[in-house]
Amino acid sequence: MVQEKIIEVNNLTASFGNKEVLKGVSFSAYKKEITVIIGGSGSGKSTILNNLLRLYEPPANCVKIFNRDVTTLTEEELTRFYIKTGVFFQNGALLNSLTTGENIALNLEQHSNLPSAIINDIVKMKLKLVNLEDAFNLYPSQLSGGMLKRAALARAVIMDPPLLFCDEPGAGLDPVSLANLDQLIIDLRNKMNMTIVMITHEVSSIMRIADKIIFLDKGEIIFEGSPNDAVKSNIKAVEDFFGKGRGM
Amino acid sequence: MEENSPKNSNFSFNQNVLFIKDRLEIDNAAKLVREALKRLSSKNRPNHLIIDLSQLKDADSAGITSIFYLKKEYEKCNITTEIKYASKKISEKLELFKPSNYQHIEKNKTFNLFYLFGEKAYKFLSEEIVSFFLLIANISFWSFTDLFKKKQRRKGETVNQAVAIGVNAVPIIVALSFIIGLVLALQSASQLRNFGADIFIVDLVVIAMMAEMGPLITAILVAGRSGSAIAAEIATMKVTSETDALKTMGINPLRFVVIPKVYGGVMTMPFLAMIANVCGIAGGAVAAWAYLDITPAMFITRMSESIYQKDILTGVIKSIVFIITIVITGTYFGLRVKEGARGVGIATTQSVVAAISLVIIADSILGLIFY
Repeated sequence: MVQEKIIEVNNLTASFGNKEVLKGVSFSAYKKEITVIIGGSGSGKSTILNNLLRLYEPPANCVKIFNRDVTTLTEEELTRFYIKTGVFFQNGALLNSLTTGENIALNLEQHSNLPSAIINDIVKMKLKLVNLEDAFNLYPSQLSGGMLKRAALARAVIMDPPLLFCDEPGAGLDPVSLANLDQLIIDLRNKMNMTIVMITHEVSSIMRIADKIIFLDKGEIIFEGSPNDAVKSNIKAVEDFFGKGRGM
Repeated sequence: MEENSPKNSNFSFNQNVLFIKDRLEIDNAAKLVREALKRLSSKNRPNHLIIDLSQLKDADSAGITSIFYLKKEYEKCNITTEIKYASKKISEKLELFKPSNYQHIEKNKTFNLFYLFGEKAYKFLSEEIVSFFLLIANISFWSFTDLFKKKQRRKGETVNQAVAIGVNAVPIIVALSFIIGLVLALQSASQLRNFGADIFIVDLVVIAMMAEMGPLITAILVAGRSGSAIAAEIATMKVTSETDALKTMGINPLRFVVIPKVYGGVMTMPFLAMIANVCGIAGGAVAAWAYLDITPAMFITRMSESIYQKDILTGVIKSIVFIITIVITGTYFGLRVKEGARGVGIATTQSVVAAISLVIIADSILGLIFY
């Protein structure tokens, strides 16, 4: 069976001033696949994510999501795209002035006509999904690092997005919390049929979660394949990345 | 056979059966809920309802939650409700999103007004007042102790604070106190003229400015300008763990951050108050000259008779008390911040309101003591 292509990146370039950050990057992400983008600092990972989310303006025809060139989306279509796309920010980016429940409900309240009783039920259900039942009435400042990440994940999936972007979700977590978060992301992918694109530096996390790895070095993809292939790779940068990771 | 099927909808009613077909998602679930609830209050509401999902191809969490919500609402009205004929895919989603998974999660109940008031009052008395007085004691102790321990102070910091709190406030204080003196004299002039007591405008302006208005206007302006800055600075330091970092370096944040502000404020505030006095009186002199034909020479002669040393001293003492109140209030609200960006905003607002209120209360008490 041919897999459905959700993201198609074709010869994507980007520069900041004279510095070329992405030098013709091409890859695809398929339905229900977890694609992990890795690479050293300054390799262009976040630039790719920002282009995919159209936070930066990519060149025309370089980024297609759900078979649409993202540069052709009108303002209204872009809003619709954001509603249907979950984004999990590195630091959670929850609004400190709202409780966890209110943070998670925000998207639904703004973009649906559902009665508040149903919105509350959906929020509770999503909190249950991320094992954070006790946090409904707590403010972000009252959550631990792991709880904050799970709350951010619940917020990212509140609209049942078919596509989820995660920017270093495991940063700053202890190994146990990280493993739990990884399992949660895998469960959500399975239960909600999501396609996930993730940036991470955590080797253990990559080995657990990734279906496909895209390795960036100085704005170019130097490796694309499964985690097992990555571990066996002879490419120096890839070898160093996984070698050091295993040795830790 | 369909009894009721709203236009362009993916659901229909047939006696006691609710058919839902195609897709039930965030976009169309609200319509279904609205129509189904409307039916509850209609004449032909059923005694038993079957929600038939045989034609439902897909649903998201909002769609499934809406189905369970309808079941709950119908059952509240004693209408037994069954969800039937779901495909395997939909059954899995019904299982995943079933209410028993999350119904134990409770939203905070809003307590009644008396409870909330009582709780706030108790918290205010038992925690806030106590910690405010502890902070006063702490700052007083370190302000006194550090006078004799030069090494503990960062070089140049007291001067920096004196410039920030005092020198930089001079233009605004000059402008506003001149205007207030001018307006004060203008407002009083017509009344005094009616009684032929024109010359007493000098006494009125001089005494009002020296004993009351000068120090008070200065304190209110400094509370708004520097009090808010102190609260915001300390709150931001607290939120970003800078105060913790200082503690872990063995540095007392109060001594490092607050005491130089106390010294800087105490050094400059009496001068600010005096500048306010002079400018206010100058404003009054201009109004007296323009409106009552009292020349500057006459004004100065009369002024020398109406100024008492006590008024000058009172103004100086008041301004010192006011600046200490402002610094302590800013510090207190800065240190008690709990949340991030929002907390800093709240702390700043509260500190300005509290500082101005406390300055006015202190002014009343000092007024009672000195007069």
